[in-house]
Amino acid sequence: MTLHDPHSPVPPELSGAMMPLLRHQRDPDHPTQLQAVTDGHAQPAAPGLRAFDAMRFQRLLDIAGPSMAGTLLRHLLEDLANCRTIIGTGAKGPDWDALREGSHVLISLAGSAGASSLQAFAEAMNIAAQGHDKAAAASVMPSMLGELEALITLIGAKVAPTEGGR
Amino acid sequence: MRSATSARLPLLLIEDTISLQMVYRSILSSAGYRVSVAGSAAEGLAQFKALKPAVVLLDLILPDRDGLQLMQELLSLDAETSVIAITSNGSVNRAVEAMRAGAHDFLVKPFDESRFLNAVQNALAERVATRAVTHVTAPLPDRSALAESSGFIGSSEPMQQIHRTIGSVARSMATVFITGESGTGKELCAVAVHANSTRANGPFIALNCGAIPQDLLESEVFGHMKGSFTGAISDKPGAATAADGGTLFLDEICEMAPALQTKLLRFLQTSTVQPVGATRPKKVNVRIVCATNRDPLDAVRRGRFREDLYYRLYVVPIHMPPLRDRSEDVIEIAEAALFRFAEEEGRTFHGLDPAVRTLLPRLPWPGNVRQLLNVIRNVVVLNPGGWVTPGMLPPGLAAEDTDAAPVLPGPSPTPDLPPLDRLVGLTLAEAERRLIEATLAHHAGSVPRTARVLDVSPSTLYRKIEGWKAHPS
Repeated sequence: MTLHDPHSPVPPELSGAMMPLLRHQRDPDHPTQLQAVTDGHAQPAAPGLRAFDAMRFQRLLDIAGPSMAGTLLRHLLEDLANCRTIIGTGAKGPDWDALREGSHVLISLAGSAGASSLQAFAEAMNIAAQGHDKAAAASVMPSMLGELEALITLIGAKVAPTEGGR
Repeated sequence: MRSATSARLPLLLIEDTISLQMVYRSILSSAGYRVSVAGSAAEGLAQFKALKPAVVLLDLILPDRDGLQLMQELLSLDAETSVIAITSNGSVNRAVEAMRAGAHDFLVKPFDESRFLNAVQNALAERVATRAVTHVTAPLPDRSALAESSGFIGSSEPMQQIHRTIGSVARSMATVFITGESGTGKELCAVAVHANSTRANGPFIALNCGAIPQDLLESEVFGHMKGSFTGAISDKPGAATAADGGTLFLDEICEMAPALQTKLLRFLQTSTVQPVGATRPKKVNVRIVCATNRDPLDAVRRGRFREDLYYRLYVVPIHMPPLRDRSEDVIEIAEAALFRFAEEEGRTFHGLDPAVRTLLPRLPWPGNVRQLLNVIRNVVVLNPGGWVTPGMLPPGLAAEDTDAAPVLPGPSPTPDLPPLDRLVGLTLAEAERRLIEATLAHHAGSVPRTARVLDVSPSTLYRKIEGWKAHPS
């Protein structure tokens, strides 16, 4: 992978954020997924999310089952909004503990929901927070918050139909 | 397959993120487990005391208390509980800390369902097995019994520490990573871990990753099906399957090819093996113990060993000290070997005479215990018996006496010279450093002797060594 390909749809801050992560992210079950994010080949299945695995999201709803899917989505929305608040607070100091805590939870939520590019941003933020790296945190923050908003919007849109169907 | 017994045992999930709590609970409930949920450390502790769960799934980051501290309190209340530590990517070091503190396993979020259920199932199976063994046989071995059963000879402090570590870790599922120079007894250590575990009645399968051609290694580890490649004339189970219910010892792990490292990682994550040519994976219950005579972290830094695999394997490290660092054990080992070999060879030896007892602990023993045993074997085979005198020792051994040339405390010794092709890709300075360090190690740190071999002046070597200390790579 090069530092940044000017023809890539992926912005340079994502490529930069992904560099330290690739060594950690060679999951044998998903060997090419994050590589695809950085190379711009991931499935852009949702607006505002560079990589979104709709099947994984659907699997999350299947696990909850039809009767609890709406409740799960509502809790997911609350948890994501909570992450946004914690990270927002953390960004002001910066409060590294808050950034670490918020990104830690966001890694799990984004990954479980299939938002792999957001997961990657959250991992980069977590590493930056652990290393008190202001420059890295600042470069990741806009993209991470943008994708977080996009995921909240996407899930919010699904809550209403699920609720209506009950 | 999950047994009816294990399904009835209660599980406790301590996770503060509500949506994840829901997902994990749904997965466990769908699989037939009884699961209780807590959203904080305080609530988790209260439920733990009330329920006495077999397995606790514990998020290490909780709002009201450090998860690691909570885990230690839970284990102090009931040491038989299996704790599965949960953390997220980026905080894998926390999981490693948890494993060292007694966690049974760890999960890195986000994880898939099969990995999640495998971890729970293994923890429950292990608990059932432990209870069965504990009820049928005996309590935990005491330290002296452990020393007896381990096969190690030596009562020096470093060896006592190793006995203590083996005693602590043997009954856990934690992966043990043994390091040490060639000849220090890494495989004996692995056998001791196995022999003192609840799997002692199961198989102990040892595989030397450096001795098997890389193209056969996958088949050796995971097996193959008849006809899957030329020469596969019958089904072969592979070491991982053969070790089912026991321990798989992977020696020289740093020599494993990158592609196979990926497969090993998948095996560790899923506890399933898929023989070459098989269409379906098969579940096995194996504890991994691995060893290397290299510095594994250095292999990671050089890109030769996967970092994620390193973190998964390097849970409980045991370093086998070189014999020169426990010279007080030399006589004990030498005499034990003398009487054993004498009995095998039908000779009668009285022991080591005073001159030999003075000389042997002063020698550098670059080949470690293995070299010492070879020396004693040589003495027993070539001499009729009596007291062992300096004249009976192999020619040249006494010349290795390090009192003649002071040992330099410097860079850590590299026991084996790497084959030339492994140097390709290094800078000239790095290759030179490796050669010098390996030669130093071969001559027990003696700079004058190393300088003679390399045909440079000792001052050149001292200058280089000082430079490395000032600018460690």
